[in-house]
Amino acid sequence: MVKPQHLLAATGITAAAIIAFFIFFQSDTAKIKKCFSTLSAQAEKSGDEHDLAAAVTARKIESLFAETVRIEIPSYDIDQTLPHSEISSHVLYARSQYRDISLKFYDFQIEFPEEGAARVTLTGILKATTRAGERVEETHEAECELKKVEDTWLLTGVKGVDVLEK
Amino acid sequence: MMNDEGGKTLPNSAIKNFFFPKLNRKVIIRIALVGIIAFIFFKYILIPFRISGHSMDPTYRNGDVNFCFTFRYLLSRPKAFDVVTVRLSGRHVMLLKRIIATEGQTVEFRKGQVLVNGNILREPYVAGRFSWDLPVRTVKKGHVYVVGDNRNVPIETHDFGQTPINRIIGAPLW
Repeated sequence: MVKPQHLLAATGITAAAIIAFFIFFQSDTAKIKKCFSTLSAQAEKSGDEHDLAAAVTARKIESLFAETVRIEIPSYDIDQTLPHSEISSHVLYARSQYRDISLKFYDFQIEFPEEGAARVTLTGILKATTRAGERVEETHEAECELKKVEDTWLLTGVKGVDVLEK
Repeated sequence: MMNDEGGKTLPNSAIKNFFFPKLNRKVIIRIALVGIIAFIFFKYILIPFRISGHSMDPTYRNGDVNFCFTFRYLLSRPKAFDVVTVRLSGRHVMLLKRIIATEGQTVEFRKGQVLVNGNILREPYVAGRFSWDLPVRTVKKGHVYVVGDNRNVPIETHDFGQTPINRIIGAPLW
């Protein structure tokens, strides 16, 4: 007959093992989602921020990208490849245009076309207020390319998907 | 103990048993089944959603709550004037739009009026119109042309256009 205390101990040990597994052995899918949650957290802004804090945030965002990044947004006629060194200044400029920013990602579809490469399709919602007080709300589907460098997933490309074609 | 209700009395134990039944095997299985069925039903068949934005004003207002009925097009195809939900990369975020034209038809905006196959479309659901102008285009095979009911905004700020039918998840329940 199994004693209740034994059952309780076994449940506790199993729960601890599951938690430890998720902490120490993150799957690639979890790591990729973490990359986007970091991007979301770093992009966020509420009110004015100090120049130094803005620069640190821009650096943190820059660290999520690979040495070159291809940005393609057909609806805005944007198609360019940015070197890693320029990302920080672009981020700094873009964030300075808004008083508050919220960037959230949903509905991840993650594929691994080859070893060390991932393709992520997601929905991004950007809500922001410009310095002039104008509200901006954009919802877009995007296809992102990532590569694995020393156990870290880095963004190599972002492409906007036109769900509605005028 | 008894409760008085309009002269009749209800036993406390009956009410208690109804809301808080004793957790025996039968009850646990029943609760689990109801939970699983409700999860499947509201996750895949009748997806609850809240409208965020003014694209479908005045038919559907910002903040309204509704359900996306995913079996709506199980036996039929989306047709003109249907309000549909269009998925992006998944079902967490969807667009709510109205179909104005189907595959093979031409669509054109002229001074805010929609012309389908060259004929002005009567749209009683549109409350106000900006002077939208868009050259004529043909809806591709397997696509539908969708627009929001709120045309009282500049054309640049309104998301509309043709989309593949397979992006249509369903239709709002009401």
